[in-house]
Amino acid sequence: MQKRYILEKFIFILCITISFSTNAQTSVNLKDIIYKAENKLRGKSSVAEMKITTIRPKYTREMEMKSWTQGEDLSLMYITKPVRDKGTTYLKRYKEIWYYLPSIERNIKMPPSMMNQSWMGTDLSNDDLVKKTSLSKDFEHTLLGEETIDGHTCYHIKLIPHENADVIWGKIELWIENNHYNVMKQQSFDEDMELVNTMTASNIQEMSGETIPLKMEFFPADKPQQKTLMEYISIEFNVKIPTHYFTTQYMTKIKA
Amino acid sequence: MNYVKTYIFILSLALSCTLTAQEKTIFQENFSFRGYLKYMQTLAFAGNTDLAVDNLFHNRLNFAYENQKGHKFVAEFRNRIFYGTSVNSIPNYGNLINEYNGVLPFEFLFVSNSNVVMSTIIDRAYYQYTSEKTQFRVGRQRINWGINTTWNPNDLFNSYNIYDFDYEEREGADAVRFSYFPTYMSSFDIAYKFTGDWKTDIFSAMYKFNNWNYDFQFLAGKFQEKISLGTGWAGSIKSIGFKGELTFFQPYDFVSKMNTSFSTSLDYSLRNGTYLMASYLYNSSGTNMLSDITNPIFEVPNAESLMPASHNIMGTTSYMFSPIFSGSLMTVYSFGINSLSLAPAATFSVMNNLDLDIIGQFFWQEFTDSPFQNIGNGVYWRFKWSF
Repeated sequence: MQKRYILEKFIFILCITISFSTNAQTSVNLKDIIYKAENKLRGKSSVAEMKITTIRPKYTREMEMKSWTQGEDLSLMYITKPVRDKGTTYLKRYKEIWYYLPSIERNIKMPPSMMNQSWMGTDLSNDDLVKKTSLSKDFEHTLLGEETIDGHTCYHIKLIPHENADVIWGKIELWIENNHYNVMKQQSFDEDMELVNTMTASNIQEMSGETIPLKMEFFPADKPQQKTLMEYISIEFNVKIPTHYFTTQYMTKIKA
Repeated sequence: MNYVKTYIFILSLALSCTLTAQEKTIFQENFSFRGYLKYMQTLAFAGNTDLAVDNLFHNRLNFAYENQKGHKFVAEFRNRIFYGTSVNSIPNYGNLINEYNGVLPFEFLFVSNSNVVMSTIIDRAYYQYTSEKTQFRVGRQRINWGINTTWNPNDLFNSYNIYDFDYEEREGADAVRFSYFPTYMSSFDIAYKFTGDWKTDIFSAMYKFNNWNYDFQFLAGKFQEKISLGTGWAGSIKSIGFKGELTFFQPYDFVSKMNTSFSTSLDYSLRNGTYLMASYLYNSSGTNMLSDITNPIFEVPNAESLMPASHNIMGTTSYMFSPIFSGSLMTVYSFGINSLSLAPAATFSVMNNLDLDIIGQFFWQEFTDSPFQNIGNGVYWRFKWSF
């Protein structure tokens, strides 16, 4: 059952990497900014070590993992902590997901609907994040001003979905840092314009040629004492990852 | 108590290899050690019989050494101390729990009397060599060929009992296995399981590949005194997972009836994270009739006959209520024999490496001469500390 918790985190990480990468065209300046933010890490490969902390009023739980990603289609994650789950490995290869349990030496295939699960306890599903919403294409953009977040000057932009767009949000507000186009803050509102969740980013660093925030925090609006914290312990971009890493065979052989 | 001394010695040796890893030598880099300690109490009750209370301290130590050249040595110890009603009342309880389906002498019954039973079983002990395209393994190992979620007619070498939740690693087989990997998404395996008698030995080959978003596998071999042929798949229909396994067992004489073992399952995850799974198992050698004896619920089945009845269905659901609390429910119904089981379970993460599980197992059955009735129940609670 713990595996399901980890799987949720795996999909969560996939979505974080993927949510910044969808198609769009450029014409207006604001659109251009959002396009740059969305496509910042598109198609890139990365090798990262990260830590996810789930914070609740009465407890916290930590998890550490190593991940390899190549664009949006290939992703591999190896759990290093907690010890109980050490060695459990998840693989996403195009439309298929497997996990490997070292204790019984078995690969288990997951149903595609796993990608359909709600994300962060919201109405937003992973699939919505991955496929449908293009922040630059499906919304009308209005500049609300400039604000400083974590010491960085950001464009504060309001996004209202086009009438025909297949978007579940009523409104999104973005704070995009003007130097490297990192999304430093994002607030998503439902169709009644109620705040659903907030993401904030901090600790911008240059990591192998990419300037990115190393820390991200996610807050559900209706549960003020809860948050999920994601931190990169290390991350390298544009690494040449052998293609055989993203295979069910390699999953069983990882030494990390 | 030599047993305890040896045990503490092994444990401290292992700990010294991991905990003093400030400056790791090459040996320490390649060496890994992990395990857990569990305490479980079982409360068993049925009808008018007295409540049976059993206690089990269960420790697992996993050692592995793997160098950069592909050589790997693995040894895993299952150490258990039993006390309580079953130990007190069942004669030779020690021999019963220490029984192992293998030829290697890796079962040690240190203490066995009517108060306490102490046993160690080494259920993994193998040498493995891996190169880019091949893998060779010899010794006590798990050869897991199942591809369906539960009920695995393709899992010829290590069948397990679905109600034995406390043995998560499951038994290993004393075997030799060779794998060849033509591509990174396909493999060809051959394995031979030694039982000490050619008649009960198991030998099989399997080819496995991935295409059209499906995993497929095909098997052929000798299963005891039968020819076994099988296939299995794991894929999806739209967003619903779709898996199955089919194995035919044809006796050598070609006169006796061929047996068919077939399972299939669908699984789905709802938007709120609820996981649902439904499975069907067909066992041609099973019964379609009411019985006058209690279903052998806790026997270890084999791939040919995974359940006593011909037609069986299973439903499973699980849900994560919070990051530290999840629950599940498994229900199994066998037609003809008219037996039902319900198994609810709850898991709490008490601390980062400490879990508490509370599990129930409830069984009903109809008999030739008496109506559908409760035949036995077990409630288990278990602490597990992982290290």
